[in-house]
Amino acid sequence: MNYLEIPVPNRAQHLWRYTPWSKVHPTEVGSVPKISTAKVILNDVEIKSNDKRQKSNLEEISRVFLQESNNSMHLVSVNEASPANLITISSEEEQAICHIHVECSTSGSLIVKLDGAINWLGLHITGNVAKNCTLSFGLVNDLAQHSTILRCEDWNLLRDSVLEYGELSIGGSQIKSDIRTSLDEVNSSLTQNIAVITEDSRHDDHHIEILHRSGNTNSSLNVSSACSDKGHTIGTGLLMIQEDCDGCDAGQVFKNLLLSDTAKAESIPELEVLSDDVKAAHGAASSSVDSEQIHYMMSRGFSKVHAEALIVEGFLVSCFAKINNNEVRQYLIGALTAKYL
Amino acid sequence: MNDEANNAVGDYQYGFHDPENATIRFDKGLSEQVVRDISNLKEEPEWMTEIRVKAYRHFVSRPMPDWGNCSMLESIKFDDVTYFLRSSKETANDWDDVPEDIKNTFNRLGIPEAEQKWLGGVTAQYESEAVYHSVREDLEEQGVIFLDMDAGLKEYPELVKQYFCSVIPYADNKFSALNTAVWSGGSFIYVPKGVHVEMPVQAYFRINAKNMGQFERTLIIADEGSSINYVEGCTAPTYSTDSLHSAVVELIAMEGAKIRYSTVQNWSANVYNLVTKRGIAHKNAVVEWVDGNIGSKLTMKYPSVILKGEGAHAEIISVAYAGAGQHQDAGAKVHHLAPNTTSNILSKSISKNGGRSSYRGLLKVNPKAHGCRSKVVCDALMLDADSRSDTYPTMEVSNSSADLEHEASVSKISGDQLFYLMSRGFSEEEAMGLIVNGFFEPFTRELPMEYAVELNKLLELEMEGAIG
Repeated sequence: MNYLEIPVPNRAQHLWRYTPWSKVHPTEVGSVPKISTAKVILNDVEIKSNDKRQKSNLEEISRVFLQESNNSMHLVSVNEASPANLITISSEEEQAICHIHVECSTSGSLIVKLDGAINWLGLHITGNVAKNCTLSFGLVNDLAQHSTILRCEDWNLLRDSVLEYGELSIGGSQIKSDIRTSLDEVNSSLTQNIAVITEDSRHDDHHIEILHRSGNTNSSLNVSSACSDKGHTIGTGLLMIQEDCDGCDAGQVFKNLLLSDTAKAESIPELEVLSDDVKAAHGAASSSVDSEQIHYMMSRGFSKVHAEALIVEGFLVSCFAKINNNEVRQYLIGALTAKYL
Repeated sequence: MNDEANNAVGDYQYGFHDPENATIRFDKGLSEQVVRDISNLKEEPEWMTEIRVKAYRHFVSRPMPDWGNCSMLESIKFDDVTYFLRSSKETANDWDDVPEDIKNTFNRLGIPEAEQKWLGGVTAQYESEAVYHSVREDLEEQGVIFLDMDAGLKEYPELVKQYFCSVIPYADNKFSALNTAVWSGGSFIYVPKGVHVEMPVQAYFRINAKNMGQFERTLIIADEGSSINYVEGCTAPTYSTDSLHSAVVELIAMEGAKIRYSTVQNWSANVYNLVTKRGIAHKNAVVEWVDGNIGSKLTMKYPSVILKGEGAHAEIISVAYAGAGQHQDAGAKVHHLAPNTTSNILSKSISKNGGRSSYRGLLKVNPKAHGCRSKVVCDALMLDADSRSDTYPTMEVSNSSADLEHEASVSKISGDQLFYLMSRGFSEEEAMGLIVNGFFEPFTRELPMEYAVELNKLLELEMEGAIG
């Protein structure tokens, strides 16, 4: 299906309830502009897009739009020759699109940093984690405060593979992220830890889908957000366990820390379970900073502002504690700490 | 009961039906004329006819919801439904005056016995209208009004006009529009200031005719500092064609008042149960929904509370049991509009034999609602691999001082628990029944004892054959 054949989604659709498609489209919703490719630097070397994207089998509007606006692709291999990788994505253009396809065939890491002052960035990351392999993936969104980001991710995990996923989302003003992971084969495992800071009038909408397609697969999702000023955080999760997927263990938790009276947080952790011998749980919590914690810190000499900043930092840092890969964990924590310096 | 009906009834103990002796029966199908005819027949005031017609036009123009079980919703044939059927010429105040065939039905359901033992008042609705109504004299003396809705409109038109559609406007959703257009029967209750109705009052709703639509309308107003406990039960016969039940319930709890509304819905598995229930709680008021969904083909019901006054509290406890061919799409909604309001939601569901249970909830905190607290817990049990359980909770928080928690889990009955009980002499089926009853215990303990016993029996019946 072509982009122009897909009806513009309305608020009744779960995915587009809080962020209308028109807000993240780079121009008018009825147009498909040709958009240049973003600059991709892999381990200090700029790489060129030399592959064409395969047609996605998802007829989801943002994926189809990104492909029609720019069909190029950067292929990144995480293999024994290059187990630890850092990618920086930026652009000097007003608008840019980047598609990165990751093939992981070893136990390694990949860190993606979004950097620069671009007005609109379209990012599509797809990836396969091969049998018995572990990929530690970190993403830091540190774009300029005025940027709009439309991001889609599609991950597939094969037998006995592990995806450790960490994300720090602090850049841009209007962010729509749609991250989908399919646990295709037995014993595959996903841990996904996302920290979000929304301040000023930052609007950050994360939709996270986890599909258990095989038995004995595990997933754990943890989204922590700190919202201040007029910030607006949205976290929608859809955890699906298909039929005949006994032995799955899945959990998702959304935690929101509300730091001002004008901040808003929406959490919709959905579950659809079609197998009976599984464990599936979800939770969501919203609250302000505990006044007892503030009091404790202030009694030890911190100012109120400093105490609150430390508590928020601790709340978000704890989100990355489950990432085993030292490099990825330290990178994410370093980026977060730098934010609070 | 004839053989055909007997065969169709199966395990559903209320699946019998009695011969239809309608005094007035409208033709199938819905039109503006049908809506006006219902209103004329009931000799309603002009304003009510106008609301009905507006609601009908809204119903026709509004599309079906595009969420939930769309395929089941699309299969409702609105033109095959009978929208009004009068079985008795008038509402009897004495049990002996109820027509014999209807009396037999309610006798089989145990209504008169329950009334004698422990009820403050009872309304029995058969098809579209109430056939029997009584209220204890001492309550009447205290000024408590407990009438069927048609009588309420006749005797207290100003009171009804003030509150009708005030909590649920006719344009709220497609089915509230349908109900407002063709409503008939239901309960009207007004509890004066400071009066506490100690014994529960009950309404019993029964669909007997084939392809019948029941659209009762209930309005309960608890004035300042009063309290009431209202219980309703619902059953219908099992036919091969489907019936439609689309009720609207509006609760108004004024300052310091308390309303508890308990339902055990046990419609047969060919009834579409599409109900809108909402309460409004003013300052320091409490609204409680205790909601059990055992029967029906498709239930879409999300009891809601709007916490409008400071210090108001909402309590929603719901259980759902989804067997073969059933989809129980139930949940709860709470809007915290005022400061220091609190709410608790507990939802429990069981899916068996390919049944599907869904929790759909909304928890919303307005920017001015400081110091709100809310806790939502949803637990689901799946008894076999063919069943399905979904959870669709929504939390929208616009106030930093709010403290909200949501937790949910889906699991099967643990082998350890079964093993423990079986090692103490229970069969596997008995052990499973005990675990299910225990799972539902937070709900049953909130029901009047007679209802709790009945519910446990129903669950036992539903659990028959659950093993293997």
